[in-house]
Amino acid sequence: MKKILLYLSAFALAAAGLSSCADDYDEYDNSYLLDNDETMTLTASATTLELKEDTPADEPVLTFTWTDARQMPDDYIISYIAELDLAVNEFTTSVRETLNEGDYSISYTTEQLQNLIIDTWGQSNSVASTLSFRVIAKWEGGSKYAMPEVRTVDIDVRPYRPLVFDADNVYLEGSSVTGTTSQRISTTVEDENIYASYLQLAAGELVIRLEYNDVSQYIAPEEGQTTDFQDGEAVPARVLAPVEVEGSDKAEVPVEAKWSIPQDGKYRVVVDLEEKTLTMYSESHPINEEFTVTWYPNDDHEKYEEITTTLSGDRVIYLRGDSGGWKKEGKAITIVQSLADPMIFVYSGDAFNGRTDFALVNFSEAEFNDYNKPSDGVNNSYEIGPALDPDAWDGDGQDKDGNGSIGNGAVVTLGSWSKNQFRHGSGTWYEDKEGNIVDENTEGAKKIDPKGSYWQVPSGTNYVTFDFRNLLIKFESR
Amino acid sequence: MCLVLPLALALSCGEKEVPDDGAGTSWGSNIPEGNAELTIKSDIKKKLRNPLSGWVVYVPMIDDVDEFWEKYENFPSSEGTVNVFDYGHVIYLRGSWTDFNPEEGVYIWDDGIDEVKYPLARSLRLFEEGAKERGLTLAFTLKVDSRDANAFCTPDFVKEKMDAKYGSNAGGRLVTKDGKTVHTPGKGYFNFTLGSAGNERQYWSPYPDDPVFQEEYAKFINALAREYNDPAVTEFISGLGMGKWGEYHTCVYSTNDETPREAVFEWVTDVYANAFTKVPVVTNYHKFAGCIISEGLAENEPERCALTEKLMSSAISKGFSMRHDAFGMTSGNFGYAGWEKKFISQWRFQIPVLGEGGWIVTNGDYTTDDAGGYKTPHDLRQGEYDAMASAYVNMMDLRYDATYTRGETWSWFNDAYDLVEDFLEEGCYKVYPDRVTVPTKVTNGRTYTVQHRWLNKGRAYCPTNIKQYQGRYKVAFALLNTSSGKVVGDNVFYDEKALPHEWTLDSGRKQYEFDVTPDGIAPGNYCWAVGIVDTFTSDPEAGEYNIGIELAAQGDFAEDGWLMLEKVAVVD
Repeated sequence: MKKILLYLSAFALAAAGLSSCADDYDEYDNSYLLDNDETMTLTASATTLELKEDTPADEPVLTFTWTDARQMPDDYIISYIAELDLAVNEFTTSVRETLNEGDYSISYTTEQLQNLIIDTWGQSNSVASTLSFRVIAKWEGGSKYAMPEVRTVDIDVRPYRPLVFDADNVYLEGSSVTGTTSQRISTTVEDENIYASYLQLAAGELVIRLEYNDVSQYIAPEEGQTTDFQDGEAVPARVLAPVEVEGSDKAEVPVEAKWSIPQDGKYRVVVDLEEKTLTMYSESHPINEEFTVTWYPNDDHEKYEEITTTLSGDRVIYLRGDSGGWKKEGKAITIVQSLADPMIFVYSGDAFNGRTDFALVNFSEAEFNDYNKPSDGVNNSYEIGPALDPDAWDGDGQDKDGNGSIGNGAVVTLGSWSKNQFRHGSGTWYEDKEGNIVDENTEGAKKIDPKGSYWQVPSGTNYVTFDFRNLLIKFESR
Repeated sequence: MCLVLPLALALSCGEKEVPDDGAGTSWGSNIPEGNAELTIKSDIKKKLRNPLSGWVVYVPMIDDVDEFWEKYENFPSSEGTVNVFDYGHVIYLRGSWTDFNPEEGVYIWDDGIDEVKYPLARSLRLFEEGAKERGLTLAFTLKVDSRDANAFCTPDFVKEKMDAKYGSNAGGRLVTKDGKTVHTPGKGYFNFTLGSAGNERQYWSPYPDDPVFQEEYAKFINALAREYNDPAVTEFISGLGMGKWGEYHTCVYSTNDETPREAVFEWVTDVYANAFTKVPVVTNYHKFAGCIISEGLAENEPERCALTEKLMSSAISKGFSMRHDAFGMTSGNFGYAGWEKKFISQWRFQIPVLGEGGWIVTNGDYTTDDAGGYKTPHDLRQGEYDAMASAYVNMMDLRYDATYTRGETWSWFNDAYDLVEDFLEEGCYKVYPDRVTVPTKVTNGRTYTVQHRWLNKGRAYCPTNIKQYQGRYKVAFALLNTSSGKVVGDNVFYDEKALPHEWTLDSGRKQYEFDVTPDGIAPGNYCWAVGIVDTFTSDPEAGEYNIGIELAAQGDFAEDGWLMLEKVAVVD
């Protein structure tokens, strides 16, 4: 306490010395406070500094060095304290370090400075911040208060913008992109973290540029991976910053980010920001096959001709059941094909709910009018409905666990892929426990009727993803 | 360490330079002929395990002690995973008298006790074993009052004795209704109800002035001392067990007033002080110690506060150290405020102070119910830290929370890691010799002069003056064998004039000279070393000298903790 009072007194006296009351203190000898022959000097290794993300973690990039403070008698014990803060905060939010005896410098690494500026002091990484560093030499003990020596220096530090595997926009560039220097690709309908395109490329180099917060970065394979074309392989990837060209303001695409396109042709390019992968498919890759079924209305091979249905592009299908108002023609909705996988389609639109199955083709389409007359007794459409575990199924397309009785439908969990694959077809058929189509007289055979089995869709559902490759479906409320 | 030692000795002993750090010795050029002068620098960064210094690891008598060790040795912090025991070496066990003495004559530390019947015996054993394995010490506080516990804190056999003695007069009643407490006195103990309407639970607590209680409590404290008055095991005992939260306020006496206050305090402090002669005993300082109230302004209670000063002074004279458990609570009514600050300032550097924060961070009420203006957990921690710094505390507390992922310990390490480090670097005492002169050539049986100068770079003082430590820690110079790193024979020389408790930030450096007479040493090269020896746990006859206070010095240390100084040749 004594020291603090003296410290305050010192400033009070100094202030008094400037006032009209100076005479009152003429006899007070405060020379030991003010004429103290300070000796400490402080230097910084730089006055401006631009942090680089690729600097080794333990490499000091900024060092402050000082010299001894003045000598004091033996009954004084000296300590040196270093503080660093944003200049505008004036050491109210500083990080503080008491130095060990004999230590006359303190260094900071890129990581330390970056974390302080961004995380501790909440500054932007797009502008330089002015930091203040000060070193205080203070004494304890002694018969009189010893004025600390304080040295301060400011330095402008520009943080780096960390490379992150993220993008506001994704562009395809390089010699393999023809007709334009940069082609922007879009997110897929099913996942905003996946960018994809199915396009014509020429043999050459393909560069994938991610634009994020107005900064460009490039996709390169992870260490140990290759830029060679690997048909259908999801290649673990990273992002790289442009490489500065020495002696120029320009920057180049890193060589590690130039992917090889072996020959002219159509390619499907898929960038998954969440999984941090790049997948490229040639035109001949099986993924490009579309969902195609051949079928007979009512599965009646004698009465009807075989029909081939392929799902492609933007496609109209039909809600049926509660959601379709129990009309034979159902309610038309449009599903959109994914750019990343042509067997994935997405519905996004008005909400629907209640018991629902889907007709990929329905009787109201003109070409089928001949064979779906009311006299047929059935709706001769091609349906998809929930596939149910035969052990939990009563044979009429109802889920016993989902309340069991006919018409209640399979319980849907919003946001999750269906537990079981869905069924699709026309008419009815019989399956054994393993899902093989069998004769109806086979022991244990279960009757399958996709038209008669429903998903019990919760209200608010306005987004559905159909995965025809894996026969899975996901309902969501977005 | 052991294998490296000879090499370290060979490299470091006798090769020190004497840099000019500007702090010349006052012995100036008056250095004995043949002595080498050495300068030693301080090291405030090294984490030291010193008596009554550092963070106290506060834990109740939990069942899953193994989980406690595992969690605390891998504790999340803002700086990554840490081992809490690198920061605090004292396990402060908080329990009740009943926990430790569940039946008459049964103590949970008894050898061969049935751990199934008395599961806390297993907990205590695991705490003791774990502490020993890790080089930690234990501390205890054992309360007797059930009002804040939801448990019977005084054993039933005590009540049975009271019932037998007082018959129908046994048991008063304490009733709290509409915010008012009414006490109808009885004999021996008072009954009271805890819990809300429809969920009431009946408890009792003893009157501190009751003779049956006093007789049985004294038996218990003496039994505890027979087991734990051992400086190798126990860091301190925190009394006095009575009052709410064991903090010795809001007491209820059989007289229904404070008539017995002074007599009870003198009795119980005698019991503790007489029982624990080798281990520090601690009691709470606050203006209402032993009072029947817990809140109020000091200026409105001059007589109570005057008696408190008298009682505290009496306790200190008996050898008590001080603690306070409401640091950070700034209220003049119930917190750490003017009276407490003024009181402890009178005892600065005379007795050690142990600090405990008052608020519980997870409750959040520190933001609304304290005038300190705390807004964040770091604000609270800073408030506690500053208040404890103003009391020059020797120890701060890391309070336990069963979740391990919130509460005080978690908060200190995650909201205020900087303060955790600051306390170790600046708050705790940091003693070391900065200048030493020692003879470099000696002959057996001849006397030489050693000069040495010491200081303390920490805020707290080194409490070697307290009653239980008197004669325990001694500054010593020793001759070490360069190959074994062990003391040669009994060539350990104590300078009885060098008293670590006299080294404070205010006092600057203290210098000493004393004579040493090496003897019984075969000719050859040896090493001078310095240390502060714990003479209570050392066994000179077996050649064992335990360093009791680690030095905050840069340099090379022998495995046993001696700071190696200078090569010395022993000649015929």
